[in-house]
Amino acid sequence: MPLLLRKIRKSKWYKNESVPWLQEDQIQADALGDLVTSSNSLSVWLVNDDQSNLEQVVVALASTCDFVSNIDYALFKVELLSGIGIEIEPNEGLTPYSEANHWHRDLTRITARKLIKLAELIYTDAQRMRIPEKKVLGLIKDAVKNKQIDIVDLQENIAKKVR
Amino acid sequence: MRISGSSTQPTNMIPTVRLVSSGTRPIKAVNNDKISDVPREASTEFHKSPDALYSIIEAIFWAGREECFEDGLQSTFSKTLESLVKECGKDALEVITILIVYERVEPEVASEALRWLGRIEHLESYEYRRWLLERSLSSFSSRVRDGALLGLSSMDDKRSIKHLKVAISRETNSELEADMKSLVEQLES
Repeated sequence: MPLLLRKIRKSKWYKNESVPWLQEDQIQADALGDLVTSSNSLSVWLVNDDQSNLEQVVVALASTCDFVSNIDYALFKVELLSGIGIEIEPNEGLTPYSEANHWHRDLTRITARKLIKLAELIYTDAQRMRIPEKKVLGLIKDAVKNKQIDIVDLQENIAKKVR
Repeated sequence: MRISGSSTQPTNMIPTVRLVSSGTRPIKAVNNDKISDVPREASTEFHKSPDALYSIIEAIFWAGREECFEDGLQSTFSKTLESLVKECGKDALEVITILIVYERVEPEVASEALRWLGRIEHLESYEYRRWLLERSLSSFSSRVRDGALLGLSSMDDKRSIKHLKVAISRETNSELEADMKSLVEQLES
């Protein structure tokens, strides 16, 4: 069963000891900042169940950035979405990494209630992972070297580090 | 409060900070001082009063509360912070240190600041910034500690290993501890 990847900031999903009022099974409201919808849709990426395309998806995400940074993400099983009534639709990505764009998906028709359920799903069932900045840079360099990304399509701050 | 200027503003210009709306929290007086008044040749010397600089930087952090930060993307806050450090050097960093170490700013904004302090290209302030990042590994807030970790990851400086190992030994958040260990491995490799 394939997986879905959503870019997040891991630290918003911590059980934060500096928030003493937060109970153990509760999510900080700030985490919803990682799930900002547009036209009631949310951008995600499809990842093979063996995660064989994970690095390509990470490069696609990184290639749209202003500068090279870590990529934090949540990874969860597609099948879990059926339990909360969220639909998935293919929607070609618009990144400089054209080979990876077909893995882009939109989660659609999201209501506020469904968004909360998605946040709970990510909190309880998703793997929350980090690819460090140095590795992200290495992956982008490889993609440029292998002509998967044209360096002119990258932001200047990234292109400068790749050269 | 808002920082005047827009994302199209050149990054070498420091926007004027001014009070344009009231908040629920009393704010120290914010003057219309322009940091860009600082002579360019004295990039690490700030000739305005420390109080004025404190107010300006506090206002920048306060305005940062209204922004939604995302890894890899610049923000008005990050552009302003970068310009400020490059223009005012140690003077700005001393104020930023007070705001972060004494927890006078929101953890999310402090965390964003620390991420940027690790990536700014400004040799004169490098050691100060590295010190502040290492110091912030012991912040009460795990979000601030994570910002410090990411700043140190950007610096990629082996001298931080010993500070990271101390931080690992007292870290209570297992996810953050794993990320700290990961950075130690990166620096040792």
